[in-house]
Amino acid sequence: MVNYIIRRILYAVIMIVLVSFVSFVIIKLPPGDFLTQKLAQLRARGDRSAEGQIETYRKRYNLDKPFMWQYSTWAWNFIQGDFGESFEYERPVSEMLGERVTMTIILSVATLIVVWILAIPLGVYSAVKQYSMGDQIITTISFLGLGMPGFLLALLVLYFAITVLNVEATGLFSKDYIDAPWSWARVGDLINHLWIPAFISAVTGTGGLTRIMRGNLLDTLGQPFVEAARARGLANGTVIWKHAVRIAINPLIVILGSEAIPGIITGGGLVSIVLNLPTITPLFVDSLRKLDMYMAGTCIVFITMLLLVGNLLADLALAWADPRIRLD
Amino acid sequence: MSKPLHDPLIEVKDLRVEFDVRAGIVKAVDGLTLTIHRGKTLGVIGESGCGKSMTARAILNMIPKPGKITNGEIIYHRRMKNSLESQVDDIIDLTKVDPDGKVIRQIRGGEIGMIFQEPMSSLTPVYTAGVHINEAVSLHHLVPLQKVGDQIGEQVQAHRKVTKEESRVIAIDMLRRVGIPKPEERVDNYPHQLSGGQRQRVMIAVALSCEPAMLIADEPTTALDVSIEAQILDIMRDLQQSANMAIMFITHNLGVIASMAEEIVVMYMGKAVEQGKVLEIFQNPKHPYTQALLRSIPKLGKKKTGERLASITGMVPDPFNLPTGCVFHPRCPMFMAGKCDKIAPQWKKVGEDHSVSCLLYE
Repeated sequence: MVNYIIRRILYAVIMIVLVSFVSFVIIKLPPGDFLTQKLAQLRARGDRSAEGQIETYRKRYNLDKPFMWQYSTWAWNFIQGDFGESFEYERPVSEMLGERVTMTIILSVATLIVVWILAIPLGVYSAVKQYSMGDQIITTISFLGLGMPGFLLALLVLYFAITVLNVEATGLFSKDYIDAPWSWARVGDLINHLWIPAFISAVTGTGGLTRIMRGNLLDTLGQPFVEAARARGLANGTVIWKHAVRIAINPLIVILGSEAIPGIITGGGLVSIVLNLPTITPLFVDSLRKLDMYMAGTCIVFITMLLLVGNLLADLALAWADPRIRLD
Repeated sequence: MSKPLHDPLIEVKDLRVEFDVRAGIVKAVDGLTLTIHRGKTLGVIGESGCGKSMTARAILNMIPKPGKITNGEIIYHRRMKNSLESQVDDIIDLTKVDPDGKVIRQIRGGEIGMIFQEPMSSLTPVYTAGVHINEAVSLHHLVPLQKVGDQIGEQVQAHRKVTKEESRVIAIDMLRRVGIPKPEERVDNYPHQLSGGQRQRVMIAVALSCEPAMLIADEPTTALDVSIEAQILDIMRDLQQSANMAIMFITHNLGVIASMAEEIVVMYMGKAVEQGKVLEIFQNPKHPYTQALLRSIPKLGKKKTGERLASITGMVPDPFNLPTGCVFHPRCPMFMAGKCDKIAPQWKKVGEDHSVSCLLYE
């Protein structure tokens, strides 16, 4: 078990190195870089004072050196906690990303919890009462949720919140708390804002998961061991939850690792942009457009890390849940 | 100790189980009547789909959707575990009880145990053998608790549930009794760590752990190889004798039934066509279907090699479109035109403890 985890972490490190390298290559592929663009802009305006500063940057990040040299400098600094500097914002990347990584994790976990708390009971109900009125209603809403793009729902919620409820629905904090240090009041403010993105992800994420839960459970309910459990004299609820759901839920744990966590991080991106949430994705998209290479590279590494950690946790959870799975 | 000759445990009377599916109504069991006696084995034989398994499920009131018991009754002569022999505490019509109610849940597993056809998939994969037995034991297995201070001298017995430790001891003991080697280790094994035969033994251990009055064995050895089959049958016979348990043995294996049952019922398309003592039926089968079934058993030595096995001509009829008159008439070698396709046969006694439902004998 410990061996397995160590090995998985080693693989993850190799993966991160590969991903960071490939993304570095891709960022460098378009002709020119941020500094050349900037220089051109300044020159066009006839401003020559910034040239010196840009030269400093070039030296500091070895931008005048060959590609491999640039990458290894960045990678070496990265390990030491220096993620480089955002050219666009002229601030260290670590400073800009720090809180956003935390927010991304909080938002992802909140979404996951909401989605699972809703999807599992709904899916179970839907399967146990197959073809009942309740099942039909859940099925219809699930398909609506599956079909509705998150950003469209975000726009609708935004419109509704502003015109009807007259509250600001964007961001994760009120103006007063954006730059305030952490306190209970700030946490309260966060929770107050969190429900909107959580609701949106819940609607779009719950549908699919409910359908999967329903399908799995219907399969499992037809298995001989369910009938055998009932023939032992167990109550209906025990048969369903302890025997059928317990088995039917295992594939969902696989989905959690392979689809749900990546889906929330990436799929939540559009919603984050629409709602102006302080997560990684809006910053990442922006940095890619502006060739802000250190910012983009760092974002990719962090997104990769979140995915790999999520996957590992899901695999461990599955091994814990199902004795048939051996980790070695 | 002499046992009363007629000590019925379960009486199935004119049972009808129907499945209302899109294409129509399927009569899985159609007017079946049979009696299972305490401590005796009743064999139920017939082809796949003739209603054997549905009868078993009807007794436990576990007909899967969209099936329904539409007629008849299943009378259960209930005798509590601490009651005297020959005493009947309660008479329950099992078709009338709430299928998820307390009464039927006490009976399932506690008083009527069941072993299923698929040992490979009848245990929940994420629970150990011990957990399965423990579930049944903690629900049904009661420990007598003697009350002190009783002036009249009569033992008033109360019961309490078993503790976790006691349940584990029972589980290990049961596994030992069904012949699983190293039961102390096996009790903590998951189903995937056990072989097919061991899993079926665990199922038997679960079913027998609460000392039920009756065991329903629904083709318990179909999925096992022959040497394991013999062992499993031995275990069932031993346990039946030590606990005076009735067995309803469902199979399509005539060889097995001959060695297990005292009485047999032959079923065809949801109906019983012949019933009686096992020897009587094997030596003197009356119904053309029973005769054909017996002919289709391969015999060693008697015939020349390469000879084809006798088989029953024709196909099992379309369940939505049952033949008129006797349901067996389209496949019957003794078909009497104008009679078998018009008149439904009635029961006819053809010997002591031997009845047949065929127009040949009317």
